[in-house]
Amino acid sequence: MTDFRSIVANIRLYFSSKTDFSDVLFTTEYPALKKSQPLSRPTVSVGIEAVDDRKTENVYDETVTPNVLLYNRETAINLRFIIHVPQSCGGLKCYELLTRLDSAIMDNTFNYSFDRIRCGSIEYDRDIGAFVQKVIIGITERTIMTA
Amino acid sequence: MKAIGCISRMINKYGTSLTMNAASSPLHGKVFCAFVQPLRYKNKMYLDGTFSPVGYVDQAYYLYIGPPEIDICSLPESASVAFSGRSYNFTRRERVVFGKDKVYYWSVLRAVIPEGETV
Repeated sequence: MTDFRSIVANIRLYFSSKTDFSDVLFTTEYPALKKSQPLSRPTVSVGIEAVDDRKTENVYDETVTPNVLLYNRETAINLRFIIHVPQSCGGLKCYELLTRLDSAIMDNTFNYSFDRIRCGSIEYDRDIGAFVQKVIIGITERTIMTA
Repeated sequence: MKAIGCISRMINKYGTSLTMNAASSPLHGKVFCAFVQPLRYKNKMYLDGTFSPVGYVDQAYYLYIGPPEIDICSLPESASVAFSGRSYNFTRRERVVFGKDKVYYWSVLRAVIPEGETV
């Protein structure tokens, strides 16, 4: 069974512990905390936008005898990273963070199979007082369904 | 002229005591009085704040009316005032002039919330 809560928590932890991102606060979406006012530093929320979980044909590793079942289930998850940048940093900072996120997920230590990345345009959110950009990162988990 | 002095005296007599926090400004640490009151809300504003992906957003705003000798327009962007155990920063600030005389300053205050404060 895919534990979506753990995926989000692990990904937040992965980015939070990277020294390249020591200037950025990573949080899971809608935390039970107050937003700093004014926004103290660039902040990225991590959540799930969509999940597509499906059974597949059994896929075996045919290089060994007897063949070993590799997976029979594929879970495609669109992770939603929302970049929030304080007004004083300017909108371009969103692109800088996007570039850094992109290079971090290409890193070999990223445990998930990364498929795609796409982003929207930068907008200003008056309530939050920040420039905001949504980034979608697609990962696919291949697992064995036991039942 | 009489009216100007009267407004200043009223602010000093009936206003709330505030402490200025504005590093690099000569007003830093100054204790003074000003009127501070919650702003009334209109449509599309929520009295109880709202949740955003990065946390709860406190949408409380306060109207500040302060004495003419505390020039809040000259303060740095990060300046704040403290009272009742909380700090507030200035979002918008303006000077009100009567003829050539400054009568008072007004501003809209918003609470300063540190990172990690629970809801």
